[in-house]
Amino acid sequence: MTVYDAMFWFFSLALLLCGVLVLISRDAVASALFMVLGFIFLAGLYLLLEAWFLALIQILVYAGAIMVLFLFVVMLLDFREKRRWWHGNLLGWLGAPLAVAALLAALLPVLKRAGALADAPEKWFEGTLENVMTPVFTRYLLPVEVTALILLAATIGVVVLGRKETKP
Amino acid sequence: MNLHTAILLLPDALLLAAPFIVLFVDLFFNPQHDARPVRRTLTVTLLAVLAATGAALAWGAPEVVFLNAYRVAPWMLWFKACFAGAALVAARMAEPCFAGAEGQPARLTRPGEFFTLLAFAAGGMSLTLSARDLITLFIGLELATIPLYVLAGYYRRHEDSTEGAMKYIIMGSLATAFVLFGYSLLYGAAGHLQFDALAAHLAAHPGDPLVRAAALFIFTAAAFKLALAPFHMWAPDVYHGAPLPVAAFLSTASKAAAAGFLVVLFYGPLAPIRPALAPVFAILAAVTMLVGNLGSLRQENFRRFMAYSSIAQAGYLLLAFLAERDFAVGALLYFLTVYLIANLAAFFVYALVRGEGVAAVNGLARTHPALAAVLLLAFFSLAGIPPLAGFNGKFWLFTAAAGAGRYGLVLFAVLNAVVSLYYYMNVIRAAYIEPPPVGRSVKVPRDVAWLLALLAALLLGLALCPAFNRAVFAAAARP
Repeated sequence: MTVYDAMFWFFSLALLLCGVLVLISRDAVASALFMVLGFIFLAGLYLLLEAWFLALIQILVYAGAIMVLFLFVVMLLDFREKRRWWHGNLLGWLGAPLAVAALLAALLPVLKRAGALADAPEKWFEGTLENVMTPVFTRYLLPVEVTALILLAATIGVVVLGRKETKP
Repeated sequence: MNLHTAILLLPDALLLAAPFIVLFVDLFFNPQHDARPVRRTLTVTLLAVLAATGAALAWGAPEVVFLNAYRVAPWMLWFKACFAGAALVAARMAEPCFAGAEGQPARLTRPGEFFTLLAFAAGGMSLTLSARDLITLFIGLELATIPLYVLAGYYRRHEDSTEGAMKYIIMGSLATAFVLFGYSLLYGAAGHLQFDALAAHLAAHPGDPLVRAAALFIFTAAAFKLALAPFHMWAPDVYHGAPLPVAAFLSTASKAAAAGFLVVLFYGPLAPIRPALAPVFAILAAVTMLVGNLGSLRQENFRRFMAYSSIAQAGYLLLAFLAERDFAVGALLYFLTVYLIANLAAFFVYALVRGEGVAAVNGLARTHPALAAVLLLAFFSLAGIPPLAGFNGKFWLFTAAAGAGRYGLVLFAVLNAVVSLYYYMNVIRAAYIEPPPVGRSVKVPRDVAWLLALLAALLLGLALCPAFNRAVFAAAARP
């Protein structure tokens, strides 16, 4: 096992552990903080893939800005009710294993073939700012511009839902 | 780019410009924030979109590719016309609905924003269909759904509306997560985002299990949007809480967009996977029909009733995906066009009557015979009674399933259509046999009367007009 492999296993297992901890933490703030930790491990995976820019953005935007927003919301709403393991939802407890079984049935053939997947793709890009941003402003210009429309629509929506009603 | 290719891009350009035009008019020429000026602006813009779509179908090139990421073909134009038409009728519906009648929670506050969001959603749907890579497809779908989350919760002082919007956004986000997971698996398998490259990869490796898993994820997400049976739980609550025009738009344009999304993928890059998924389509179609039909049997609330009815119709719609491409797309276009018209007409009558319950139309035949006749045509068409266009739509879908050799499924679908006859007739019975309530005032403005007359005439006329049939299948035959 090379150092690279060891780091891959460390980051991915830590990421999975954080994901599970997000789900089972009793406190919403603890859940959010485990999510930050998970984001940092994910950034580690990006670094292993030589996606430098993505790793940086992952930490700056997700672990930084977005999670701070999450924490604000969690603290503002101040959940008193503690979450429990058993919700008494029989359908959920029966359905979840079924869904997981179906997912495994779909993904098991993939895992069997994992060796073949490990072949490196034909083209390998180093994730520098230039390599990431050139397609954004050439081939994917249209979807990037449409993202601005989505943001505008979301902003209008937030203003509509959030403003005080002046007229009855 | 010459005129024949440019004309194909005009409908999308107008549709994406529509929200800005509405916002602009609302900001500078509508100091009182009245509903009427903005609604008129949107109506004119959407009429221009419809005219541009007609022109593009008549004189346009067979297809055009724009910026390497955007493709317009005739069958997409047909869908785009459906979205614009549904937005047009839903916008006209908004005014009587929000007039502050009893039983309705609120007036339409901020009408400019309401119509802007409606136009954004229609633009997003149009973008989804024209995508040529997974990123544009994803962005288009998001632009189509995010405004709908807000519109579903537009009565924000009303508990049902907020609850419905909350359910919608959570279920919708889950569907988005599924679709993203599917896309990333697909990208992992093929190493490309472009549809052409994906199709080439899939044709070379049709049995790739990774692609199969990806297709399953993507189909699950589309099933959420279409409200197919195990994923339909959100629909009745969201329709119930949403304002009536929004529920009408959700049950028509949003459903058509989800069907178009499936066409784009499963007759596009994922076409080699479709035969493997056919059993999934068949089982889900059967379950969805059954759940929708059994659900609508005992609904008191009109929007909840229409939600289950639209679930059942989505079950029929899924039958098309068992057939080969050209026939499937033609059958879908026919069915969806007619379904849109019938559904919008039914919603519009309830918008005018301003009632929450199915029983709000009691005795309509005695007080407003013309409205009752529109209702009759709409529900007969939804049920698929022969002289009406709804029958042809169902007929093409059932033929699609029969052509794939699934006779048992066709028999099951026919039995389901018989069950649906019962609850559609129940509404007709209320309108024609029950006594009218005292003191119901229904005002039908002149333009609404013309609009409803047009919808009713289309329901009657399209079935008797072979040219419509030819036009639909000709548009579908050109990929």
